[in-house]
Amino acid sequence: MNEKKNIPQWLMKPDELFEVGKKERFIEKNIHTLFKLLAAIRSRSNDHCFLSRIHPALKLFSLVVLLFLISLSRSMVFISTVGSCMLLLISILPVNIMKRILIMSLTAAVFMAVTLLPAFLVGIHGHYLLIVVKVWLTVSFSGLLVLTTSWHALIAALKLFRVPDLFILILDITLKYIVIFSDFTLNMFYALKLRSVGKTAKKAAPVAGIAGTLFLKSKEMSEDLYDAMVCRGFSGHYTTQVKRQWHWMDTACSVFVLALALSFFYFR
Amino acid sequence: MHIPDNYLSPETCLIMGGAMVPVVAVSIRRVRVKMTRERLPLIGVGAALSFLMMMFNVPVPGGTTAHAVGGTLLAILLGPEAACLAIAAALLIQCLVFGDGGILAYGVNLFNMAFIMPFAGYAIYRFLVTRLAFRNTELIYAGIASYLAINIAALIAAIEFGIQPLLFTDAKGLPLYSPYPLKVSIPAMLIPHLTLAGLAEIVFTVGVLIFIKKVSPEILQNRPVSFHKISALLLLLIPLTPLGLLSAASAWGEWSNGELHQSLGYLPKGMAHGYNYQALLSGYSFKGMPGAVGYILSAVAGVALLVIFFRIFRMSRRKDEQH
Repeated sequence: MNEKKNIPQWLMKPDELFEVGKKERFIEKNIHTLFKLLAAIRSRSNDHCFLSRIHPALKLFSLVVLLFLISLSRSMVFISTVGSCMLLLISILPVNIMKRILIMSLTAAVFMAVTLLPAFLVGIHGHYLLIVVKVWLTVSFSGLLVLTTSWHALIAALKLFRVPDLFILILDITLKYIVIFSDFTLNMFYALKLRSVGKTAKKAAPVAGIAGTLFLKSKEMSEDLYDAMVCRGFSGHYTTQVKRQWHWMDTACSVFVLALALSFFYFR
Repeated sequence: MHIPDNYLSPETCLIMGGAMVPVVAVSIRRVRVKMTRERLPLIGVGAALSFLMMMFNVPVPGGTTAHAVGGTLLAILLGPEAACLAIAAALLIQCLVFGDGGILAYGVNLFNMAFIMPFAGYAIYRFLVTRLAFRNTELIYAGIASYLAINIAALIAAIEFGIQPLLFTDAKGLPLYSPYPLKVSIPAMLIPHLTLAGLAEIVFTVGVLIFIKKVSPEILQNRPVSFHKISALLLLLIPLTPLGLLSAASAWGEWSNGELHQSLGYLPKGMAHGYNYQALLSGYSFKGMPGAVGYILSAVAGVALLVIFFRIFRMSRRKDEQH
């Protein structure tokens, strides 16, 4: 507590990096967006929770089964059962993942509700609630998978489903290069910001330059990457280490999906 | 004790709801000042606990049912202001999602269960503990306080029911809302609560306090708590909730319009044309599902909603502190 008192007052004030509320300038707005994107990608490595312990392949398979069951079901009882389970799952997640899933799924559900509004007003309200809840559930389950599994684990899981090597390679490189290119673009925007003074009418003019440089850079980098891979003995086959010990969460996940599948047939 | 819509006149609901606004505002302010951030989610756990306790209906003589609330228990565990917020959240979920207790009558239910019960219970408990301090008597005092508090709340609910036919009648002199006068409503509410519901409240209060003293004593000492242990208590209670289905009858003053029409021979006008809210999971049940399973799922959904709500609340509080 004493240490806290020694910090001068001006250091305790939150520093607004970007002027919020005022009309942001074009460059700053872009920097802000890119910065947020990169921060979001980098912070993902910290997202660990009990669901991360399930084998990614099993998780992917469970998701596909659950999505099928949810979309095929026309019984409000089954959907409510899954909904209760979903609420329970969300309530025990780490709070940052919980918030993101809720924002994602509730946005989708509200959007669906608005889209269905005309049908509702005309007088077709038999399945109104059912469809909205289904959307909420499917988006929540997808969110659970995406937010609790690292992208590389997910790609490794694809290998188990016999997805072609080429496709996996493309996905893997895409994911890596999204980060690299974002970083690169961010640096270009920083450079642009440092050199621009005053106001200009052609605010969007530098974008073409940045996009063009980025394209040239990417072409160069892809050639370099391919050469590097060939030098290291890449022959087109993609091998992944997927062997992993069976965790008790895997059993729990299987039992959960099985129980929901049985209840699907029971409540039909 | 959950008063449904249309049993009380809109005027009564408005006045009681208005009275609760400052109570809730002051409670929120005091909780913000008093409670540490680590202990905030305890309010959510408390709300979930209270929600579950209200699902255990006990059959009482006269063919109706009643249930414990846990107001005193939460007040002892968290302080009366936090208990007020916890029960308010539980009641909100009950009325919006499960149709238990009316939307217009939310303020009245708040007054009875979220204000009178925890504050009265806590006052009695503090009085006994400070004035008659003997060794190892705290649990007994907690039991006594909880018993008295639920009965005070029931008495007030009975008075709210009973004054309706005195104040609101139509041209023929028939009551517009709740038809039973004070001499009927007070015994009808107090007999269940003096006997079995009071007993259930004592059992829950003392039982949970013993459990917490053994498993997680830090909760009582205003220290950071481990939530795993207290969550175990919730998980233990959820599968037991279908015990509350053993008595199928409605609680006194919570009949459906049909039931009331049958026993009274007519339906009070204000109730026949009143506001009618259709909750998603009305009566803690799913259509076409065995009652017990529906009840457990309702308990799961309710508890999860409360926990989510308070964990998000805690996160927003953390952001406030950073700024």
